[in-house]
Amino acid sequence: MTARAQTSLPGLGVAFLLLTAAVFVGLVAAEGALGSTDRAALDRQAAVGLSERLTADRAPLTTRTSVLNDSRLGSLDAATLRSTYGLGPDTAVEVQLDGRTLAAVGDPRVGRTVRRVVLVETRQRRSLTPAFTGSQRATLPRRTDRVLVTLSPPAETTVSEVRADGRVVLREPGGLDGTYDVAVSPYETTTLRFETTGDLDRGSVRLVYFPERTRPAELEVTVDG
Amino acid sequence: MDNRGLSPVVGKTLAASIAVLYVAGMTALLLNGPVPAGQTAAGGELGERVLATAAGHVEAAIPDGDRRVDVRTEVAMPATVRNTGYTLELRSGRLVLDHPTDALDRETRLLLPATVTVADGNWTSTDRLVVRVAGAPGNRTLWLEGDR
Amino acid sequence: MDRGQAPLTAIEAVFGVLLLSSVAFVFVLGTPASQADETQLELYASDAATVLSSEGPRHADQTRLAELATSQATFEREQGALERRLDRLLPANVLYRIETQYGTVGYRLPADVQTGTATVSTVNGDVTVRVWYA
Repeated sequence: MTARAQTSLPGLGVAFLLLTAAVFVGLVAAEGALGSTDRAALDRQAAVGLSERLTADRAPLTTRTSVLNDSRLGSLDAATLRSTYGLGPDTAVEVQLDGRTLAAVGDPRVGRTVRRVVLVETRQRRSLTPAFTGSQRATLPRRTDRVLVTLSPPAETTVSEVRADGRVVLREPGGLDGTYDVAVSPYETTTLRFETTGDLDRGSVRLVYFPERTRPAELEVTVDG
Repeated sequence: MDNRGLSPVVGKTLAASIAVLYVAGMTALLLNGPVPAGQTAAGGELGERVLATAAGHVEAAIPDGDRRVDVRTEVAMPATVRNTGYTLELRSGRLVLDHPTDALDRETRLLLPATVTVADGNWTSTDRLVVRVAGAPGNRTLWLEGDR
Repeated sequence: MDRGQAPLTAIEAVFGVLLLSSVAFVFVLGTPASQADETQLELYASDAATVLSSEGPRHADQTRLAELATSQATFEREQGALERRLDRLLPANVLYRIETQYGTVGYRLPADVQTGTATVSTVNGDVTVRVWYA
């Protein structure tokens, strides 16, 4: 019977050894799980915040939300990043568009990156000289947000009113003459109608419009605070 | 043969007391080292996320548009980090998480448009967090408000 | 009797180890889904929704998404073009699905995958954009 009590002691020892090993493995696993989780919530939030500011409606670079204006992209540099977007003095930031660096402050090597889908808009300048054969209308072949209307009607003709898709955009009962900048809806095809006394012919009206071309791009913002 | 009835009792008692000692020793060891360290690590991560969420909501609370506004946005925040309440402080454009455990203190800079003034203020985690933005488009002011 | 005791303790110990390791596995496997992926997917979804909802319609209506949600006929007419548009917009490793009351456009949503969601309210009803990593 003494033998019986004693065999249980080595057994107990082995069991404790196993348990200790298991506890140790568990601790290592827990440590690993904690260590591998992403600890840079603040950096990521800063990157999200900066990307929101960069792509917001009426931001320095955008024409509308998520649409960057190609001609303004060059204006982004380290100084504007700091002054306009309120970054901290020791924050490293990099802004890339489709892999090309637009601006960088410092060297964000271990920072967090967020990617935004944006459109990059380039505006072209096109002109049109309507012939006015049989009508007083001119339809712009592509959508635009503004039209430069240059009126030089023949001597006996007065242009009193210009309508864009039925809406009066220019009005002068005494006669319109010269160049006018007209804002029109960028969402639909614009037809201009000219209310005149007398006839218009080719050359009486010259239109310059600015159709947009957009291409999708990826904006990458990396912040290392 | 005298100890025939005694030795199993001695043996079992011995084994049981060794087991109790082992468990007690292990518990003491774990509670003094890895457990608080793990709590602080997890609390630090949670605190960082809490601050990041708060900063994100504060930044998103600025309304678009060009009208005069007075809006209140309620933000859901955890009441405790590492089992204790905490405070959020707005100090000259920075959002600071102040926790009784100093190792969990964090701060971040708010990325806000230059037209927004940030009023200094405190919020305690026992309240509901309300972000208030008011003013004309060119001159808006942002407050943190507690709402019980 | 001598042989019966030691294995019993060993079996108890094995059960103890199994219990502890199962707790340890919860730590390893049960960690929450990556915050980084979640944030990024939500951004992709809201960006795609923003871009699409500010795009002019191809035929008539207020926006492209409103046109999609107008009727069964417009949905069927627009779905191909919308699919091509999203293929160009989103990165190659991101798949998408657009849900409207007239049907869905895009890929089949796998089970248990982390998604980002954005909903746009149009004059003709809600349109939901869902994205996930391939």
